[in-house]
Amino acid sequence: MVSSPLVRGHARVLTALLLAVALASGALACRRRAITAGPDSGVIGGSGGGLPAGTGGGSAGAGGNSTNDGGAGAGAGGSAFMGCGIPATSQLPRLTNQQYDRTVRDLLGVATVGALGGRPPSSVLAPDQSGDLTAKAWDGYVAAGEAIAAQVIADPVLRKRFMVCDPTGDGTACLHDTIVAFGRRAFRRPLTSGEIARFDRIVARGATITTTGAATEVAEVLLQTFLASPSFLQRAEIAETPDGQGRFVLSPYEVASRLSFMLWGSTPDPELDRAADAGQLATVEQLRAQATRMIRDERAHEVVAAFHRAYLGAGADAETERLVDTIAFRDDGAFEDLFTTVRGFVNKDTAPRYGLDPAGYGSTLEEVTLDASQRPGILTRVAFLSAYAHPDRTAPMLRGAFISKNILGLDVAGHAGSNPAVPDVIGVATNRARAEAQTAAQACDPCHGKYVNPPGFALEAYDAAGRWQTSEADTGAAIDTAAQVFIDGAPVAVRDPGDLMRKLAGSRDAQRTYAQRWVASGYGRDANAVDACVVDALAADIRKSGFPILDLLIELTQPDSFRLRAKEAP
Amino acid sequence: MNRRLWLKSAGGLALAAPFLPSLWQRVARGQSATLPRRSVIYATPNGVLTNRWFPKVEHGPLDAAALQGTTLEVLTPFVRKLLVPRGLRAVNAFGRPQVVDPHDQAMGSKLTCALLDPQNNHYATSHSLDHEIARQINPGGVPPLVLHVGTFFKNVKTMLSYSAPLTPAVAVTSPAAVFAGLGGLIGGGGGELDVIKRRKLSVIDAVRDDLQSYQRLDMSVADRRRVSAWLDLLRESERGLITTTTCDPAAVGTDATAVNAASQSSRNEDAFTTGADMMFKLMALSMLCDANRSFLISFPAYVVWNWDGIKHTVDHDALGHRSGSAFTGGQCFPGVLGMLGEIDRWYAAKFAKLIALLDSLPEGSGTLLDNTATTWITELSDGNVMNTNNLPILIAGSAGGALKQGVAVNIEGQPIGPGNSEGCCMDGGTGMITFNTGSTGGNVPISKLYVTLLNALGCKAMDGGPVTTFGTLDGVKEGDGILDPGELTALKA
Repeated sequence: MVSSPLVRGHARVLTALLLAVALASGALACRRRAITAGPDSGVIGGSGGGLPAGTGGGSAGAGGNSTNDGGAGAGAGGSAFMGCGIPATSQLPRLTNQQYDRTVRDLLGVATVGALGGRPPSSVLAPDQSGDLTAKAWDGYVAAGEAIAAQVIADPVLRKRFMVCDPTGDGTACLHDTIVAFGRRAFRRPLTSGEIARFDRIVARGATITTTGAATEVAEVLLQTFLASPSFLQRAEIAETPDGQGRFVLSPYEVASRLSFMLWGSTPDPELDRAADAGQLATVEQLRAQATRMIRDERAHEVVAAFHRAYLGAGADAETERLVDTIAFRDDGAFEDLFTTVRGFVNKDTAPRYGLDPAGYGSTLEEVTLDASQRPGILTRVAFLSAYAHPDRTAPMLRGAFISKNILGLDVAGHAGSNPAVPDVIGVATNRARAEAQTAAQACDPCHGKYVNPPGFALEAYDAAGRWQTSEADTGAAIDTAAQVFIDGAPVAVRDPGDLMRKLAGSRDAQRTYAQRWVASGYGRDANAVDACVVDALAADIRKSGFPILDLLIELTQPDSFRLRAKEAP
Repeated sequence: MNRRLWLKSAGGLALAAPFLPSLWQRVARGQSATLPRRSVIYATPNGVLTNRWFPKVEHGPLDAAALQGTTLEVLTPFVRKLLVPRGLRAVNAFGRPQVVDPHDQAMGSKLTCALLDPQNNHYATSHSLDHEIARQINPGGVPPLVLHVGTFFKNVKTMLSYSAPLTPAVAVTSPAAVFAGLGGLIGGGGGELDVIKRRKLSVIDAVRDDLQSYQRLDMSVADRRRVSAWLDLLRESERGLITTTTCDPAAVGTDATAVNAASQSSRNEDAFTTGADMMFKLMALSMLCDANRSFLISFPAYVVWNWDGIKHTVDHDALGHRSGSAFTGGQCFPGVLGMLGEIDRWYAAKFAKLIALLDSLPEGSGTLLDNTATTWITELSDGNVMNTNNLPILIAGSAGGALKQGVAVNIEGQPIGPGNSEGCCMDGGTGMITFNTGSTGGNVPISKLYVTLLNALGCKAMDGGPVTTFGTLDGVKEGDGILDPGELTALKA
């Protein structure tokens, strides 16, 4: 189906509105998620993940990160993103607490603060929240800034991270130079002359706002002020250069911040600063080059790890984190590798669950190759399998619901966790039969029978601890892993866990859900209808066999929306 | 509130946050985005002549006419800042629930809402309101400032403040000791505090400039709102920092020399006059320095008035009994009602002096008084029958706008009346003492007032929600426990 970008954009907005109505009605209904049309499906309600608010895999950020579903017309972008629109976004997103910690660490070398009990600076901040700043949040920023500044100035080594010189005389000249140099890094752009004058005035008042008037005391006040400043605490996008199509072109400094906070969760490094100063962040090629450099930096590992921690929920642990890091960074692995890899990391505690002799392992994780028929991918590992299980038996409904919701992106609405109103069933031979009997009632079956239970049944080959099993431990009944799993809009016959993992890896719904979560995580906000175009393009990349996960992050820098902004509706 | 849980929580906090005291001193003093709220409890012994004491209006707005001719007439300049909750009863209504001396019960249970240890010293079995407030809202959770005018005896009949079950707090009686406690903040420290304030104001100035640069941009309504909300927070912070007064003894009209002078004599005529006045100033100074937010100042019961133009020959307790002695009943002491009236008016005038001082010190857009609940409580309602129902209670200041002002509120919901303290010993104090001088109405548990005050001051229950109970007993029988939880919403602004 061919449609103009404008028409398609309207269709997405309409779909989003319909979604809102659908979500507002009948919270207990079980349904597939409302769908935004993919560029190649052309069918509203067809196959593919949706873009509901709040389902993104990343942090929603702190304050001002919300978007509405509006946006501005299409642009050129990288070729894969041709025709994608510009979502309307807040100009004043605040740093998340994690970003605050990393930024303070990278700017000043402060990871923990003695005055805060040796905890990270964010330990006194209010929890991440959207919307207006609260009194508690403001007090937290002030308190953290004071504690950090005191620690930095008291430590001669740390002090050099802030001050660019050793003060002589009354220190005014050195403090001025410090203002200019540190201000560039703290505000992530050169200070305006007015801002420099603002900080110079603080220096001039030094004798009245410090006990002795010493330059180091004044420097502490300057640092406190920087750390409490909105231009530090917010990733403000305030350039007002029109692009001629009703949108605004981000300044190179704003683009640099988008890059660094997306790929590192932190502030730009000197090289990125230099590129911004030189105006070398204007083209998709320049962005690709920077992103390619940055993705190989150590800081990117934590971003990828954090994304997959959110993606796997309770099913993430040190083993899966190590595995994901290896797939992404060492193997240049792809989305499908997450579901098919036989690489594993075990120690003496987890080895027996994988059928390995614990005597051969210590307490640290060691890399192994696992049985390909039993352990393909991250969902066949003990962390996931035991997290979604009862203490004494498997929980096929929990495992199945997770896969349908988090991996396939289906909107399995309804009750969360166990439903105490449903009586337990005893006297049946298998856990599967127990679950089927519990959910056979008319009220349960439409959801459980179709979406929730089947993926979990396919994983009945693992007991509650994640050990491989072919029969029930207490009855000896044979395990049945065959199921009809709802994938890409239809029930699909699945034989066993390996078969399920292969089909998840090849699922368009799963691919699109993964892409959508990267859009939300990378852009630090919930994906909206205008983002659907970018999601579709990323999903198309994922469908190319072997497309590296890290390249997805690089691709996120390529749409026009990475360099342009549209104003939120008034 | 489950006391064991409370203590566990308080201990846990101390263990979990060892950095708090130093951080608090450095960072938080006077810097909170909202102004501090405070409590002052002004406690006077024995009872009052209830039918002279209460405003003429039992429920409704107060004005000068409502106070005219009453004991409280001296408070007329502040009538719009007064709240008179009517109908409250403390533990020990007519000698129940314990068989102990009524003075012991009234004093020990007054601020604790708890039974007394039947053995030993009759100490209260729970902590008192001033300590609960201090633990929750004081900088660093430091104990309340517990002051006593005149000589302090560690006796249940004298003590109101308990830091823990069976653990009375020894009150400070010397102004010099209070002043010494502020030593780190005033004098040299006071200068440092001013520096800290100026530094914080400097940060606020710079942040405001930064925010205002955003206001010049063409942003969405939501972004504009974010900027203006932040600016509002700065204004609040600034208001908390900019006061015309500082942590400086001069702000309350005193200095170290005057404090020492007021601390030299232990005679009651000095303690009740210059001593008490200095205590008031030091409480206000503690507020300005934000050294404490919970205060208790109490007066002794067994003193013979001989100051400020009043000259008695028997002590206040003896007058309360109407007998002129420690014994109840018998012959009326000549002129007893007139003397009791003099004492009541003296205490009212002293209270007026306290709130006038607090109201003279600006804070934010109001005064120290506005941000404080200054509560006058008496040990008893009527000193003859020693009842604790229909209690004379008065609150000046709204605790930062949380409490109603300029009204009397009949909490009981039915006419209470002023009591009958002049039911005997009229006509110059002749005749026999009768025991018809009490009140029948006014039986709402005082713990509900304390719950209201705790919430007004920003205190929380263990679950983080509003406080719903205080103490361990609100009934009249030993096993009643808390029968009537919740606050008095009619008192809330």
